[in-house]
Amino acid sequence: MLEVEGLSKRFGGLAALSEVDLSIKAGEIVSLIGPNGAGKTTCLNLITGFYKPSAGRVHYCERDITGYAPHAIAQRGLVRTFQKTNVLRGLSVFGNVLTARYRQGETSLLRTFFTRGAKRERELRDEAAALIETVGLGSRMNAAADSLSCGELRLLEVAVALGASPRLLMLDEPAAGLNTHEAGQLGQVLKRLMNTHLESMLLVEHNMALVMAISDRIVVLDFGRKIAEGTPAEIRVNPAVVAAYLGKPAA
Amino acid sequence: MVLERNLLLVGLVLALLAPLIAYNEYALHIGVMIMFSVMLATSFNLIVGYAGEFPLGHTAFFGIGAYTAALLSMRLGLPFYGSVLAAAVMAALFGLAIGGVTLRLRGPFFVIVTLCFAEVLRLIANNWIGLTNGPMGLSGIAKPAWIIHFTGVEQKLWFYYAGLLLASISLLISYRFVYSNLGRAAVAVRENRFVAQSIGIWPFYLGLVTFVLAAAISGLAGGFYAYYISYVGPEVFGFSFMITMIIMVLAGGKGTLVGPVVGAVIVVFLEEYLRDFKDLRFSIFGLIVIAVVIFLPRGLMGFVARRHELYRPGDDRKALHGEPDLQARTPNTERRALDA
Repeated sequence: MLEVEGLSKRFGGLAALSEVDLSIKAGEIVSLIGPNGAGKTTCLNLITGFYKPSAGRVHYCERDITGYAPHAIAQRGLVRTFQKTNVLRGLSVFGNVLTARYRQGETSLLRTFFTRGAKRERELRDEAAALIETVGLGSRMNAAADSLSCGELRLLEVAVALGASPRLLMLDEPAAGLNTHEAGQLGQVLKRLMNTHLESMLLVEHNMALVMAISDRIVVLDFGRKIAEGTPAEIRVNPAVVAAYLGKPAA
Repeated sequence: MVLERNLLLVGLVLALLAPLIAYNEYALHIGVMIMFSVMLATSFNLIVGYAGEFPLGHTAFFGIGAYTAALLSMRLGLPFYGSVLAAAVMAALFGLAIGGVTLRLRGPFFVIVTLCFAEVLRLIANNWIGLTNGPMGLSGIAKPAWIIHFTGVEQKLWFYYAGLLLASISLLISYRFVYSNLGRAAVAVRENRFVAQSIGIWPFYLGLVTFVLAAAISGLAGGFYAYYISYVGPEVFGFSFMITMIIMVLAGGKGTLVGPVVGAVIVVFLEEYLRDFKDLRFSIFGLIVIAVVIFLPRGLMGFVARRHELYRPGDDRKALHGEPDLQARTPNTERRALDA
């Protein structure tokens, strides 16, 4: 579904990402892990068009999307969330997800001004409400977004992303700031979405319990390079990964 | 949404009835100035309050509208409604061109470049004497033929209702825009550009749609102004109209449709009442504005913007299609007030 070849990004003299290959097949949950500064978020920004790659190609559903604008990529069903929790804080939970249905409710300019389109509007509202129920925020439907707890905000972020009808969802550290219980809940929500709302998922995450629990495959980055790839069980015992996280054993 | 619509409808009814109790030339003149200001403030608010940018050169479109209407009327003898409509269209075209350039910029850069466009237009109006008659301006724009034999107060009354019609159309179009899918997307760009892009919204396109719409309304106001004052000079591109727009929108409450209307009414009245203070009035005006900004940073009607889009299963159909069902709606409105 997603094929990334030789993706590189240089910021001046700093090679933030070099020659990374990555592929995600339909039906897969892939996790991208690595120590801080390994280039995980850069990789996500490159794939979703927020940065322009210095080299390499990104193919999504048999189409070369390298260098597309972020909104154009999102419109094709490759939707991301952000590491720093990003929702529309001035709106209600419902308002956030309703706004995210923008593409699904898009009509021509003329229709916006001259016809009522009330039926479609009604459908959009019901769809948005259903998505909020799906992520388990039903009881907070009409609450102001800035009154949510950290865990609820993360769920809202997922709901907002779902609002854009993604086929491949890319989550940037969705469990950051969550306690074990909340992270577990989030993991369950994400797994459930795979069968109903999404074709595949890329997870950038530091919470290893969550990563190990839901990933089909894990890709490990360190200093902008891919150092390992495999199933959770393989990654757990991979010496290069252990060295990257814990340092090499003293000789 | 419903609250804001109802407030606007109440305003419309009050405006329709106002001449009954204030039927004299002076009061009607104030009424006309209010209608004109409502259009300007609504237009400016679309960009400041919904797109979240600050176009300091918004007078460009007002001026283009005024000159277009004046020239079409004087040179080609176009009737009132024709040239006012043409003023809106011409301003929208300029909005498309200027917005297409400036909306690629953001923040202070956008502010400065839009200001430059207005200034360039002012210089053109001042110096292209063949077309605009330069600093002398275009005077003697003919009033619509059918009101020429009216008495003074009847003419004012006619302008008042014509202004009310144009202001209502401006607000209706803005309302349709703001509470549409597009309006929501514009607010998303204002609130968080990155989230907006990640859900497939193209900020530039949304900005351009808003900009063109605002320009058209501004042009409409300009055309109306040209006919009412029957004189257009280069000062229509000047900064004093800009300041008035900013004060009306900030004092009334940006990001709401009711706010700029309230702001326009207050500013026009203040300008009149403070006339007694002669030169001091500008200082008093400034102090009032400072007080509003400090004590009511969201503006007088800011509380409207704090009302959230709420979901109520089954209720929306009634709100969208049904006859105004007062008995059913009143409890809802109260619940909203509590929620907000």
